[in-house]
Amino acid sequence: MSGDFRLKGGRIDKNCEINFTFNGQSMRGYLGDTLASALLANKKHLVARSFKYHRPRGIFSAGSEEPNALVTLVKDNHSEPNLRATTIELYEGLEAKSQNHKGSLEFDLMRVNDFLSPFLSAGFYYKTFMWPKKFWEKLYEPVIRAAAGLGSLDMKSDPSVYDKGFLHCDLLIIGAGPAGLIAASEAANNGLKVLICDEDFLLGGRLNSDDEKIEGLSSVDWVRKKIGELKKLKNVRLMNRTTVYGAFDHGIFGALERKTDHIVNSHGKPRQVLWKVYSKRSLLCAGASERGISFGNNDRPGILLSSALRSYATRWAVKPGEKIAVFTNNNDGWRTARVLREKGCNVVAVIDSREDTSEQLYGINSYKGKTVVTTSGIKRIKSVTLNDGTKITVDCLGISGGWNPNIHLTCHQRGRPEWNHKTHCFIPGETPIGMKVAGSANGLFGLSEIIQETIAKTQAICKELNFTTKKATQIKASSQNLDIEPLWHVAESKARAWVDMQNDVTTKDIYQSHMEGFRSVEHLKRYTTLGMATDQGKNSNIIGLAIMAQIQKKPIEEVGTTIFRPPFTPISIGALAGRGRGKDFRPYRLTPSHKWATENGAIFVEAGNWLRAQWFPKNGETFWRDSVNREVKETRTSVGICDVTTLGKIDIKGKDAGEFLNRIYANNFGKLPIGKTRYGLMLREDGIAYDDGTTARFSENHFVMTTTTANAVLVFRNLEFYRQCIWSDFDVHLISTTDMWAQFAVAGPNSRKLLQKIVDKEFDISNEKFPFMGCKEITVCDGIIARLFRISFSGELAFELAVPTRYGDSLIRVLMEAGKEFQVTPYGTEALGVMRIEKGHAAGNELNGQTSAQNLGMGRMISKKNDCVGNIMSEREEFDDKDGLRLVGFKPMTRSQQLKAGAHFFSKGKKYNMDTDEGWMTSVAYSPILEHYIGLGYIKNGSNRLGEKVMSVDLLNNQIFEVEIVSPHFLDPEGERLRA
Amino acid sequence: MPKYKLKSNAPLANHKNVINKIKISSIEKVELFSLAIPIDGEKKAKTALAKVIKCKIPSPGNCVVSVEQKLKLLRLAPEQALLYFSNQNLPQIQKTLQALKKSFYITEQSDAWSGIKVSGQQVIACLERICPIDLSYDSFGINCFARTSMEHLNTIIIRNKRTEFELFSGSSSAKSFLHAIETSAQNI
Repeated sequence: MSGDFRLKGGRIDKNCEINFTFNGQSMRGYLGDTLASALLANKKHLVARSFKYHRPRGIFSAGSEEPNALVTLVKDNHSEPNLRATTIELYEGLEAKSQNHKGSLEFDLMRVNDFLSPFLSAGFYYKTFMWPKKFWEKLYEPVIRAAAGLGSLDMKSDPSVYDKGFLHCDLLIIGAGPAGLIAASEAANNGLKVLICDEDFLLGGRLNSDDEKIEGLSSVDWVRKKIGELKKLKNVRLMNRTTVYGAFDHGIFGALERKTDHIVNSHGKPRQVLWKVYSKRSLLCAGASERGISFGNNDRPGILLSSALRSYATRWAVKPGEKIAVFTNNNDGWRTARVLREKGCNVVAVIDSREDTSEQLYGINSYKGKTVVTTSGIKRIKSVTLNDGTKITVDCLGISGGWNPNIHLTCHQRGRPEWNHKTHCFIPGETPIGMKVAGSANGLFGLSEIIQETIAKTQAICKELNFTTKKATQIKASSQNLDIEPLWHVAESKARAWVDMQNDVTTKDIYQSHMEGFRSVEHLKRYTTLGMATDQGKNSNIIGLAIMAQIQKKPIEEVGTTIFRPPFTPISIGALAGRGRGKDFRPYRLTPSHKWATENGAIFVEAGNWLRAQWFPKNGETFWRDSVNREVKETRTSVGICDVTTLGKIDIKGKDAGEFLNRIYANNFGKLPIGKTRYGLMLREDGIAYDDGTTARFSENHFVMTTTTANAVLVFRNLEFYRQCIWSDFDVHLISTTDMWAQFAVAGPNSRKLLQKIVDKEFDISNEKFPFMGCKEITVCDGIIARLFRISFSGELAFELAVPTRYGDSLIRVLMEAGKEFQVTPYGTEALGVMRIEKGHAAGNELNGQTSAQNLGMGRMISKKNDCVGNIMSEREEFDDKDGLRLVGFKPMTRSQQLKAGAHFFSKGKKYNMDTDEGWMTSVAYSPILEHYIGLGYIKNGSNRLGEKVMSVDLLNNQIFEVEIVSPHFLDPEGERLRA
Repeated sequence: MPKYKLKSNAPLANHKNVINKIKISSIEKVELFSLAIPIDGEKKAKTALAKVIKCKIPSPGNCVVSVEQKLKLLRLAPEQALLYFSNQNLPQIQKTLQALKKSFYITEQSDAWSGIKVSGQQVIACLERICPIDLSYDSFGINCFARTSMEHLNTIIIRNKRTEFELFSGSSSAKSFLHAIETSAQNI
């Protein structure tokens, strides 16, 4: 029952009871509880099993540094493992399960590992299981993985909704404890736009758990007052449940906001939002995390950090035990004992490793100069034994080994922490540009000092940002001296003493690491797994390093520390993906005829971001090629229409547009007559073919370039580079008009007749007035402006007609209506591909970034008179090799044989290897006109080998057969059709 | 009467929606033209603009608005501006363009872009999910504009009022862009 272990007070709402289950057992907590506090209130101390030895484990901390209490949450029929019970906000119906055990949590069969621990020390698997070699992957590794680990994924898709966003501020404050709240108030009062984030759902940090006095108020009342003030300020944004997980370049931070994790039903709202925060300055006020002390059997349920005991008693009103002891090396442990006693708990002893401390609490046994060497109890601690043999019966032990500033974010840009000899902890060294650190995160532990430092640093930030600063606020607060005497490891302990509870790393492992030569902190970490997994060593790293320093008889600063990288706490992959999942992974571009194509049953294919009609199946066509064959035949015998809007279109204007194109294309464009279109080939600087297309000249200073669909953006970017950076003195301007014009290819012997029905009468598009490669600005359908190009990708008499996009949908409907008398057919990208292969046109498969103009058989196109991009490099010896690869056609010797793109060519009788490889097949198609497969490909000296038979070898599909080298122009090699 | 007529059909024609009190609607009756300033033609361009539309040419990244002429002029780059007519009649637009023709290279862009108006008290909460620009009033006031990328799509954003923005993105991806905005409104 929730009330059994509850104390008075707390920052929970006792009027709002919450039902939840743990391993199927029904329990109750209150609004404001975490799962951990509610479990403790229900006397549930055993909540987990350890990583390797399957030791019983309980809740150790009260925050995100928790190493032990990892659970699996089940929500919306989906399990999420490895969540820290200490950060899970309790909600009605919460369903939690323990993880990493065989059998029940109470009787875990894998506990046998604990008894085998002498054989399972750090790195045991590196040294054993060496033989037989093949057993490693099949037997040893699976068995080890099954026996150790954390939770398991349920292998279902995450049903939650996630989102991303962008935030901007003058000052980002990370942490809303005393330093954070004071900084926010100070900065906001000086006019800065402030964003303050805290990972907790309750702002205030340690002030919610400690009995401080600020401005005459209790810490809790002061927090309430301060938050109330900040909420009223328009230039302050308070974000609780928000973890700033990474510090990146230029003042950019990553923050994860948990929006609806604490709500029973999110109603489709995002569970979490991943924010990209742009800040001018940042102030890290992330506080500090308490660390433990390594002694024998220090991992039993019921052993918690001393500050966590204080939090559970104060903030959550939980009585952590009936007989509580505290083991400390500093004054903070005494504070815990005092607070617990004030709350009505039975504190039986304070064990302080310092002999000369003046701390004393009336009525509590104190053991000064003593240490805990071991504990007893299996599922919960029963007693502690001191180094003088004293045995004390307890059911709860608080440990305080000092405090570690939360400096992680200062290290994300390779900042190295520095050792502070006074407080015995690492404090920030070099911080990311624009970041300052204040409060406990900077190694200050007295509230009064924290406040003074925070105000000074905030004022400095205001000045740096040129804000006029008001007189600094004077805030009075209580203060406390930590007076710590370092104690990392109780040397007298003979039992195993844990350093890293999450990874089951003991002091023995550290010694072993040293003995085996893994003495650098980086080696220590990797050899023992110290500081890995979900807690990233927040409790354990410093203890491990200190023990290594002791072994090496060196100061800690000489041994050094590993540094941290993002994220500060784990982030689900779903949050990183945001809304970009499934069909929302990327935006789609739709052609103007998309709606019409959908209505007509088109099958679509993704081409870049575009959705293009691939083919249009008709009734009775059960196989895609039936449709494609029909589309090709009908186009070649009458007329077909294809939406080619996706081709890149760039308007090029200016007095130097012609010269610009001369230099961009390998062939000459300066002398292209007005009203004419020309095929152009672009080279890269290294002489390799880059892209091709046609460019039309509409006036002296106006050209319209088309690019391939795939390279539209790249070509535009490339042109802008040359325009802005190389020939910046040219009067030339570029603008992408791809989306401006809906463009349709109208191809086939009846294409002119079809177009004549819609082109306005004043425009003559006869062969005489509008010959092959002509271009013209015209009007269609009674005055709608249009661009008409007499160009052909199919090899047929063909036109491309462009109208403003708003008329695209209407145009395809009009063309289909007008074309009825010619049995017009729409055709998709497949038929387009077949026809271009029949005609021998190169496309992306042939311009694959490895081939030159010479390979394509276009070497003579490269202008020798004009300089152009790639000109010089295209004359390299290897490019001009007469025996080099040439683009040719291939046909099978047996008509029924199916060619394969990717097959390689070998001369007959040669072995099939790299040395004898002569080329490869780039594109294949079934030609419904020729009624057999045809292919394009590159083969050495191809243009001089027409008629020769070679072997087409596809080892992947085990297909080897003979093909004949033929002209790449399978159809109408003289070009009579397209000039008709 | 000609046998065949073409009907205008914009990708988001007449779209209207309200999600979480955020109004999302397509922008109708907009004509856009790219004005490229010829090399060494800045002075001539300034004079033409002053004479024809009675506006000073804005500096790059800035915008001028002529309520009288129902237009905005967005200086997208040092040598490029976008002339934006809203609810203006076509003959008047043609007249304006004709007068500017000698000073600029003009390219129509009306159908290249698709506009969406987003407004409401929570409009910032909606747009901050997709817009990397700082939209706070101090940084991005009325008639401010920016070119940016939202959900991988090239976008021009203009602030009309404190709680009203216009967003223009490529017409081919207009439906994806609308989906992104509506998802943002839904996700608040």
